[in-house]
Amino acid sequence: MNIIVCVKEVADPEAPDDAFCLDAANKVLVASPKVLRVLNPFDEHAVEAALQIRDKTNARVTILSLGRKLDRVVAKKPLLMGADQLVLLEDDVFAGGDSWSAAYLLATAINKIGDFDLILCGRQAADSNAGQVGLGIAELLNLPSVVAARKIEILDGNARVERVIGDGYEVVEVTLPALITVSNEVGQPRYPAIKNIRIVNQIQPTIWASRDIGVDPSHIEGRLTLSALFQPVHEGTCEIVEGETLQEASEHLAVRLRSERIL
Amino acid sequence: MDWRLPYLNEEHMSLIMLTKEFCEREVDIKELNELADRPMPANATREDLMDRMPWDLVSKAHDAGLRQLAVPTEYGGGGYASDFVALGACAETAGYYGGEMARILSISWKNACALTRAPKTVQDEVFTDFMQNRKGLIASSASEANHGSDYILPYDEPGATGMYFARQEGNEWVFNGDKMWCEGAGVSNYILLTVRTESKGPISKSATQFAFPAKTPGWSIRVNDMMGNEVVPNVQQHYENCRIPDRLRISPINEGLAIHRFNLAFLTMHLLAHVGWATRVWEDIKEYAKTRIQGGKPIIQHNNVGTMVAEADCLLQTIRLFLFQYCWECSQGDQLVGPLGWYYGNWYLKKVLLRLMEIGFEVYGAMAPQKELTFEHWVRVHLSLFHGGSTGIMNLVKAARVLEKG
Repeated sequence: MNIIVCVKEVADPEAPDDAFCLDAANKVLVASPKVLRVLNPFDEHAVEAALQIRDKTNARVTILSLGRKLDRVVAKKPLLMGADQLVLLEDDVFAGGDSWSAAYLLATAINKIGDFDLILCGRQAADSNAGQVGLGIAELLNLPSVVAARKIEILDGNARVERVIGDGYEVVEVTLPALITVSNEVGQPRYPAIKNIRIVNQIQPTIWASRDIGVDPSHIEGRLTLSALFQPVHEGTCEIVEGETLQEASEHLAVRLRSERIL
Repeated sequence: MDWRLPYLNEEHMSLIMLTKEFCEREVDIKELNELADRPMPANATREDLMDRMPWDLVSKAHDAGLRQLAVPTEYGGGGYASDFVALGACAETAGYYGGEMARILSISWKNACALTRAPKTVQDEVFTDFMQNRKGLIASSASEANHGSDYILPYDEPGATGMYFARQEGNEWVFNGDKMWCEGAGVSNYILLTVRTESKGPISKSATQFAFPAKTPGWSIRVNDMMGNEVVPNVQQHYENCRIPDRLRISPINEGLAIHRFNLAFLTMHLLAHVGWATRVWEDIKEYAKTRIQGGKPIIQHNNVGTMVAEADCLLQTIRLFLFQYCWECSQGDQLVGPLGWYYGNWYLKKVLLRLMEIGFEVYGAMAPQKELTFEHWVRVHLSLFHGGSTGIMNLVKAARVLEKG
């Protein structure tokens, strides 16, 4: 069985707020160069789900990541956790883009890899939180998909998936090959193994540029237009609700809250 | 924390990321601080101290491979004893993301580093125990009432320093005496012990180093209850007719001091643990200065506060670079470098931390002693770091002694 896990490198979401600044003119959020690059935490759960399947089925796990000048330490983390192979889609023309272009490039690379039974993605990325790439890949590859899995079992060519819903989970089965996005309820990702650190850091990943996967750079422009990116301004005002007695003040407060449609 | 340092390679960064992830996932800093503040009775026993320790957390650190990072790979450890940059970076990361957790890890790291230079028989016994028994650190002890942890003062006169004397009886050594200011001895299974074994000579030719098993009959402890205790308690030790076999001797007889002095270099990872913790404290100070409005604007815009915040940043960056440079020097080849870098680093760090403390009090103002601030616990714990005997200005006196000898 062959599993492909799509992962994304993001700025550390745990970094302090003042390590980021908003460039409203260019509509981008800029992280200080001091901020560590990390694996998207949701994608780590996808890697963990793949490794849980591998522990039971001897599956081969291939990691696929997309970007420009990807941080090798970040990209190799799934290998430290136990994944078998790393493929990086790395090209200057891959900078920018949107969910569609990411899905298109990843789907094209997956087609090139060819032999797969299951594609796993994190349920969303910790930077954009769009949650669209996984489903986009499924659509482009014409695969069935399941989102927000908390448990995946492989049974006779099918995947039995416990899928997180608002007030619990539902169980669905999907025929393989399929794409599944994984939620954090799948369990804590395993730590990278120290013994792997020395070995893995000597490994050079497979690197594919746009020409290697046969895409024309002019065809990978995003389809999403970002109209504005701004930080909402929260202004607090204080109003003293008065009354001769506590009961009267309470009544005035209730009326005020009702008039503001808070109650 | 800025990791763009020329000393760090991919392997180091992977270790840093692992340490960060471990601390973020497993360490509850507030819980550790409360544990450190739990009262210790004056008559606390080793069992009492063992009960205070967060062994579950230590065991998780073992599962993640961090507890045994400096243990040789042949015993199942990480094998990073010769890579001071790796250990220093991990200690700093643990200090930044895990506060007290850094010292819980780095005490065993630095002593495991020292042990990797010990005879194989000693390594076999201590490392095997360490890997099999997760409830325990590895401590080291040298200080006595008449000298600090490096023995270098008061001067190398015959019989001048080191009153604690061990004598050989056949294939055993018999220990009688007291050792002071030992961090971790109460919660370790082995203590790297440096004692006088020749009663009249200068200490440089009269001390021997041993791996002392804490279960040895006759050994007992008394806690040093500080204004700000760390999770790993500091203790005095009493040795009364304690007998251990000669196979646990680390150094040649009467040649232990040279090894002990070089072992000081391993303490650099301790210093970086403090730098990591202090950097987190400084970030909180900076954040407070940016959000605290006074006179109609954030106090970081008040020149007196803004310059102090910048000064603390500059001081922390410089001590950090100095320590990483020393770690890098120590990691080049098999030859241990001398203790000069340690003396300078130890002196300078204390200067930096003391100034950071002063700046914290200025910036926080009346808020400074509030227990909800990270600053408060950090201040109390670090007050015990500024003593002068083996630290403070005496570091420069000791450095001068080294310089004098060329």
